[in-house]
Amino acid sequence: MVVTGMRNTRGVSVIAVAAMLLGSYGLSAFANDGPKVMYHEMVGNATARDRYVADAWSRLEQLEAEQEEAVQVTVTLQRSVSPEDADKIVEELGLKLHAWEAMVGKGTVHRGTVGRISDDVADVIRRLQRDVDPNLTTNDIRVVALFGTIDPSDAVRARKNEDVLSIDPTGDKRVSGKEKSRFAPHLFWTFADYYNR
Amino acid sequence: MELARSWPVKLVVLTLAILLVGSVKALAAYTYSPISTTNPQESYSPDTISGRMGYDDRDLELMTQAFNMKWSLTRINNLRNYQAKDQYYTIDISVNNDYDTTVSAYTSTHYTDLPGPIFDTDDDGGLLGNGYVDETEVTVTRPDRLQALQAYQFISYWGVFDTSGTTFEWNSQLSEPFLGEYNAVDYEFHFEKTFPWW
Repeated sequence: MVVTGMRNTRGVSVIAVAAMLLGSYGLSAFANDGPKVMYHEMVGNATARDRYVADAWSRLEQLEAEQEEAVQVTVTLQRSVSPEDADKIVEELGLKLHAWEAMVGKGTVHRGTVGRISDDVADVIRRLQRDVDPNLTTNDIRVVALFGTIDPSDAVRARKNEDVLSIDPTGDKRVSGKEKSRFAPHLFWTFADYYNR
Repeated sequence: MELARSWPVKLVVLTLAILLVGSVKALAAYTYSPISTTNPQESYSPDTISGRMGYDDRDLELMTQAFNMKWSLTRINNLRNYQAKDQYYTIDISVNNDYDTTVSAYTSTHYTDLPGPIFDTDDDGGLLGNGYVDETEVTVTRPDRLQALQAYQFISYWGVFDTSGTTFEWNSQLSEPFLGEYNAVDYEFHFEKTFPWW
């Protein structure tokens, strides 16, 4: 969350007003072609989500055609996986991993989410055991999204990977036009049944 | 003879004292701050929210927590109406000085049980930041999953570079997606807490 040029949790600046206006374009404001998709429209709506995902793939193809170097992306997985399986997916994709995000829970009972993890899983568990639940273990961690950099050509190839819902480059500054690259929000929560995936 | 009998006793006492001090030190390595609690007024904020910090002086690691966040059914309905406009609730825990260099949020390991969370961190000092991450937040993109009067929480972790002192703020925000992140269009300040608190 950024309101550039001032403390962003306080005053609502001219830029924030601009954000309000431009925000109506939703997450795909940067996708030049095709219908715009707002985040809430994708919640439980596969058609709207597919439109957004297709925009992201098109953008990656464009980056590949322009022979752009590695791009900063958010990878949304089709279903939650163990940290070990997430490692395999990272390798398959050729992703230079920056961080990952995971659901936390006992069995199928969703308890919470731990985000943007770049530390060892052991460190994450140590903190969660101390501050959330002393009984949590590595087995309670299920990865739902990956954040990293990838060559556009590798990303385009990953379209056939059945573990991957989308690879979204819209946080990269070359796509967003912003001063700093970021990671776009992942789409896992737009699944109506995400608790059980 | 008297000396010979007393030295083993002294040694035992000394050893026990060292062990005792060591164990007290170990027990005291992680401490929690006093708790702050308030009842926010804005239509998107929870009806109640509390905050505290925890500090690990071995790992120089600070935990900041918003907890006991409870929404009434009325306010959950407010959030669902905002959702229809692609506006979402965000809880933000930040240092109140963008140029602070005493702490920096880990860009990893945030925890929440809020539904559909999107985490974010920011380094706001100057155009490109000052290298110290001063803001942590989570946006709730699935308010339709909120349960009335259930207690929710958000935890973020910070590395501590020195303990000369800084102040954290807890704010609720109404946010909109904008170019791949969530921007605040309104906010409500809840409370601030100083670190260290002792």
